[in-house]
Amino acid sequence: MFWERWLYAWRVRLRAVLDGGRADRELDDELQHHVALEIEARCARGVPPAEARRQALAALGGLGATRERVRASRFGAALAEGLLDVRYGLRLLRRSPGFAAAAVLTLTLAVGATTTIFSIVDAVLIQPPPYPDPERLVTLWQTDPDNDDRPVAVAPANFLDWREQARSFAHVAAMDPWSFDFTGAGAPEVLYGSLVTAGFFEALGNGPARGRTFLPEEYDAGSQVVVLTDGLWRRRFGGDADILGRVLVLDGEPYTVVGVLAPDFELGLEGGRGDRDFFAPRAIAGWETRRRGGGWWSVIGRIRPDVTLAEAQAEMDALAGRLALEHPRTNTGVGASVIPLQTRQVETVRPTLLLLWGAVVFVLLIACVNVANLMLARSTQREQEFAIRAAVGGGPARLLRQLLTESVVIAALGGLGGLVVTAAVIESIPALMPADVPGLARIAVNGRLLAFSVGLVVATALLFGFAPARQVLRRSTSDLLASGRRVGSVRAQQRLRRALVTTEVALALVLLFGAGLLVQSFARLVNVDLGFAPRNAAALQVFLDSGTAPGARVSFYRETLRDIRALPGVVAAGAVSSFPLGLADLTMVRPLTLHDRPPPPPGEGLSTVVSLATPGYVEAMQLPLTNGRWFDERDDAAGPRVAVINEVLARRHWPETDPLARRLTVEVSGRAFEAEIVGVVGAARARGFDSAPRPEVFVPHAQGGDEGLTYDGGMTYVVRTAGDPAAGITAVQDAVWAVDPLQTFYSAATVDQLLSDTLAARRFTTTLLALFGLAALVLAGVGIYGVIAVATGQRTREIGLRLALGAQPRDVVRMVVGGAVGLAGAGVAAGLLATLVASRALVSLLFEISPTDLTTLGGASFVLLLVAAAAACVPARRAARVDPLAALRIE
Amino acid sequence: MSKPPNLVQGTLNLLILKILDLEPRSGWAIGQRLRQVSGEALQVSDGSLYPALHKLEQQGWIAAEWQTTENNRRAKIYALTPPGRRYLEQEAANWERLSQAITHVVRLTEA
Repeated sequence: MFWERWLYAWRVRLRAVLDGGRADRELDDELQHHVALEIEARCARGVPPAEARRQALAALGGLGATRERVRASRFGAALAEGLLDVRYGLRLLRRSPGFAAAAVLTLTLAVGATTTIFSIVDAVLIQPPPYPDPERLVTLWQTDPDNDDRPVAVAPANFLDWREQARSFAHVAAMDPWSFDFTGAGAPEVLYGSLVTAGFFEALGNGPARGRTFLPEEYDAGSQVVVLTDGLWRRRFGGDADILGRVLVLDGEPYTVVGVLAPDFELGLEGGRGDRDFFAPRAIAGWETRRRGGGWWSVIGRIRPDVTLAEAQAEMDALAGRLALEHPRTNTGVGASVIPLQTRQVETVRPTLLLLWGAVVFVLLIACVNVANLMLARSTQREQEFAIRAAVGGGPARLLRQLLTESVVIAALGGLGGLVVTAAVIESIPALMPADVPGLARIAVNGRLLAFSVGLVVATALLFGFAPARQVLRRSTSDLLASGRRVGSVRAQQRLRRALVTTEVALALVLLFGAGLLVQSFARLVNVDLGFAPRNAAALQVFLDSGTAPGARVSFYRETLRDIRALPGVVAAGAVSSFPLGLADLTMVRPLTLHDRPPPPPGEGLSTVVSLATPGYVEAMQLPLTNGRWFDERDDAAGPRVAVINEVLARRHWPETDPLARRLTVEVSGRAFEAEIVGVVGAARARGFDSAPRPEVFVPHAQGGDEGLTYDGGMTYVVRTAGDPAAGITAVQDAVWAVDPLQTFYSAATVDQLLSDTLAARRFTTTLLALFGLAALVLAGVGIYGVIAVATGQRTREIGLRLALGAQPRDVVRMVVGGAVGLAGAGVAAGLLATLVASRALVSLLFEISPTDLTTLGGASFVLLLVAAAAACVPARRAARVDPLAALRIE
Repeated sequence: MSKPPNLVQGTLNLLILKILDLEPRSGWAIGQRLRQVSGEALQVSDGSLYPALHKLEQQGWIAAEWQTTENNRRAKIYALTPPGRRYLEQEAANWERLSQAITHVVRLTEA
């Protein structure tokens, strides 16, 4: 029976779906037939034809209404009607291209911005790291009692105790950030990576893409085997399939490649360098098993499946307490902190991303308000259409669906445009963001992004479709048809539109104020006096081979610097040990003794940054020499020991007197270095724009020798050129390679570039927020224009009357513009409080400006009012040109 | 005088099927017949007749065919399909049972 019945049913249904037009015509015929027979029957009973017809139609309940009811009962009716609505919606948009362009463009920009930010938030904050059971992957840190118990790198002996005693973890492993000089294949290069202890790859849970990781005995012996990252394998070896078994010369030793990691392998710890190029096994040396003082290891662990994070933390707390009792000298107050890997990875970038997310949602809301406003303006023009629809049988639900479908059509077009925008910019995002943000490689147009966009389209359609829909529903058919009631409904609608614009202006104020604060912070920051001149300077960091004798080091730098200075275009050149903008920050903070002071009580000694420098360094940096002299070639191992201090130190200890010829002792490479102060130089913000200058003592690099310094750390060449500083980079490289062709450079960049890198995160945030602020401003202007234009259009008669009674066009302009400014003023007033609350989210990003800076707030408000006035100018001028006679003749 | 009761939901279908069981008819004729047999006791508006007819057609219980009537008009004539006929028997039996049960209960309370 089932199949038989469906045989009949399907034919009818298919026809209804496939040939709706024919089904409609047949229905009309059928109903006409019915009415004709009814009329005949009534006429036969003696009813007059006209009356018979009226009765017949009334009995049916109206032809149109019946037709609609039959259609609604038809199979696939909802679908067909939906399609009809979509077609109708598209046709409407085609008929008012101005409205369509404005609405779709607004949404395109807003949705594009939102999906783009979402793609970052999703890749960085939401998607877990690409390891099995990522929630069980943790990082372990010891806490620093002298520094608010902040998590810091782990000392080897503590790590060994943790690994041996902690029961909560399936694996615990340490990584020691390391670098190798890679030579013997093309240009020498520094490779960055980590030496890791047994269990490292097991803790992560992912095997390599090719080959293997390390065997237990390789860990124990610290064997010379290496696993490459996908990045290095592709960059340096062109993705060579025969890489396994190849021998690389690293730090002059042969290392065998045993594996290549997967492309998505990423730890995002250690500023993104500890996992850049390679991993090698790490044997633990005897002295390390006793080292508990300062730490430098990163530790990762995998929590057992039956243990919670809180339980693991509790065990580590107890363990740290025991260690503190056993080793009171080093471990008192030192705790142990268990932090999920992802939490740790995104710690620094999270607040920024959340801020941008909040800002872009504001932009989206403003865009929705704007489109809602546009639709409201149009619904005024469409009142007649809706009245007719209601009269011919469109129920409220049907009309609502029609309106919402139109909203969805607009939102879908905007969403499509937004996706195109996102797809266009998504490739360039990783380059714009600070490089150490994890998960950047995961940013892509994917299923989640598409799902998000679809959700966004529906949400925006409901958001901006709600107000116009409500308007239609609240009015009954008779209301719509009776023109006498029009004024009241128009007023109510105008009130709603004004409320929307007020909201929009308030939202825009919040964004503008935030953007203003950030832009000013940025401007103040880059205008900070660094104390040195970054223009036309390049910096290159080198580490000489650790076997080089002190005398050879001194002559190496002296000779290379002499060659560099001889080059045309080089203005000055020198070298310094602590150049914190470089890749490896070698700044040493050491005890300081001043000989003209009584010895301080124990534990309260002075300390200072100690830097070794060569002649020519102050000239290359253009550090101002405020007193005495800088080092020259006479300050060598044979000459008397000398030192130069910076202004910070000079002002702190000799505010009234001359520090020259006074004596001090600093510690360099574990030895005391006693010297006479021969000069004072200006203080530099060596770590970048937002760093404060620190007290600093410079000593000559050349005063090494047997009884002197044995400094064997790296030095940074600083070269000042007359023109392009990039020429300085090649100058140093050529001079150094002429002496030692295998020498590598840790960083080789212009100082401007290094400074710019310190601003990457800030620039990203500031640029985006400024763009969002600008978008908000434009959208608010468009919104105000829309409301004022419609309101002025509706007041044409009144304005004509005013002009007829003697008002000047100037007065009309003033009235219209004043209305717009008043509207914006209401929005500004509404936004003030929200602004001051929201700006607290910015505090950590501000530089030398208060989050409640009234000048900025005033400026942002003023700009909004100005935009309002500008937006009102066009409708105002139109109003002023109204012909009084023509206006009065309307209606 | 009390108002005639509205049709119980779903019973309109039963009435239409029963009327078509006797012979195929057009929509108008079904309406006429409905009024004839039930007198004024059951009010079936023409407006609700057509949606019901189209629904039944789509469910496969009835089928329609365009025919030319004796006075040369084209009319859509509805007829029961074989499954429709079985459906009617089933539904009629259900109705019988239900109405007997209700009648029984109503009398019981009166007694």
